[in-house]
Amino acid sequence: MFELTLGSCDAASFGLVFALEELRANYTLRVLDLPALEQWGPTHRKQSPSGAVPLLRHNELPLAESDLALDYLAQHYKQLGFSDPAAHYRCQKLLFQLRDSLGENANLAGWAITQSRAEQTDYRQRLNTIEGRPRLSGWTAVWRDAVPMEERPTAALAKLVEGIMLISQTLGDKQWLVGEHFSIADVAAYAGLRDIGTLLPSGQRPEDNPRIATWMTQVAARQACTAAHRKLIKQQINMRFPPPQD
Amino acid sequence: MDLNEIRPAGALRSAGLDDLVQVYTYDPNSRAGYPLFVLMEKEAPFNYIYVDLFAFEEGDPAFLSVNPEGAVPAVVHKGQLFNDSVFMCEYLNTVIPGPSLVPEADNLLYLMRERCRQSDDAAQSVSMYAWNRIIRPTLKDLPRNELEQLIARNPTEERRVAFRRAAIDGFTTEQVDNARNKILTYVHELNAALTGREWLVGDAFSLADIITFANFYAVTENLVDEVTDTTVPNFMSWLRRCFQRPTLMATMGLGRTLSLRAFDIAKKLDVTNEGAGNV
Repeated sequence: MFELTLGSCDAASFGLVFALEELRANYTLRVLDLPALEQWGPTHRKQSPSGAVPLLRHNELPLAESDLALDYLAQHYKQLGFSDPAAHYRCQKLLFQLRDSLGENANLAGWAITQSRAEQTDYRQRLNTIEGRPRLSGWTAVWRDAVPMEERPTAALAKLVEGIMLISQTLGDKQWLVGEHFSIADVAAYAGLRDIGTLLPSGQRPEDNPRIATWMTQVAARQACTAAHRKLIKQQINMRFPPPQD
Repeated sequence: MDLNEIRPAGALRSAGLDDLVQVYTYDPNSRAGYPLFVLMEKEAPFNYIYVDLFAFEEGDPAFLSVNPEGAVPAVVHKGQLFNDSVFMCEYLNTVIPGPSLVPEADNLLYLMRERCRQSDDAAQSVSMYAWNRIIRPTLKDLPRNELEQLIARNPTEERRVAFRRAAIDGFTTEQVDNARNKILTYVHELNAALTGREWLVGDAFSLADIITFANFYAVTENLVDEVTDTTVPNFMSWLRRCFQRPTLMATMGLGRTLSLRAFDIAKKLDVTNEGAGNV
């Protein structure tokens, strides 16, 4: 039995719901109020001290890294993954790249666009009061600090365009991103792309790339994709771009 | 970098040259060491092509022609490039015969991957801290235009930013303090995870131990007063177990500079390792 804790339908969350539907897994959803910082409350932190959302649990095992959780699902069900070691490597690397280039940057840019400056300031002030919250450190902090706060949403949009390029190059003339069949790579990439068109100018959106547009139509037509959308709508989980955690 | 340089680190089997793993990397230190540790554990033949980070060969056109991302380690096997340092280890574990370094059970496999990710993430702070202490002083006498040229030939913006900060601008106090705190917090987390167990995941030595050791074997040198038998006893016991492992130390012995300090650290920790170098 799986339990998915989430507070939005962002790329990581939608990808997990999509994969669970593809695999016809038995699962339940637990919804957190992210703007109210519920992921930092004692109940959730007992399961995930780092406040990770989304958080998939399988029996007693918390799976906090969304890309590794997709790999876990593929391995557990022996579907949507790869037995060929080189293909599995390409899939793992792509999932990780997509998480960095699309997921987190879409959330940052989207949240900044949909919130007023005052709302953003209020949220960050409340976030800074959370005790024991992990802080960015090492090279990640150096890279983040190199971009002034007010320019970060714009920088995030540039990363989204890079992410679209990555998918375009990986897809090439193939039907699916990795190997010969639909896989968790397609699940994660679709989840990363499906909402970012609203953030980008015409000409740079995923659907402006004919190959990506054809591939997205193929993925969107899958029964599990529709079921994932329905599931999230039914639960009224409609926040596309959740607030940042740092 | 001499691309023709080949340093066989094991007896060549009947494998064809295309099957022979080519490892382009620096000393077996931090990420640069991951594939070397794995291949040595497997007692597999491989070619070790040395990329000298202190000579900034990561930005050398010869290396970029192998790995356009311009970062070590890079592995080439059967004509394919593998340049994600963590996931390449799983690939090598699967395709190279020898003892498995990956647990079979789904749950342990996830936990191993998560531990590898966490250690690799925490190692960013170790690396930044080391750049601040070791590499930054070595760069300060280089002429500005030479530094700018070295920075410019890094292929990614992230690497250019990191290099500029390390070589020219310097790190902020907050960045250094946060890095130090992260290292300490993570060592305490490892100490807790090692309660009642010999290795980080399950009952067997795995990639999680390799990746963590590769990044944290010298932490007692950097945080002398904070990382001790009193403060983190489980971690220290695990560290000694790693230093006692002949294959890990034999791998350290493949290096030319930085990794050789592992032998001094082992001595300081009263670890005797007669097997090192005989693998």
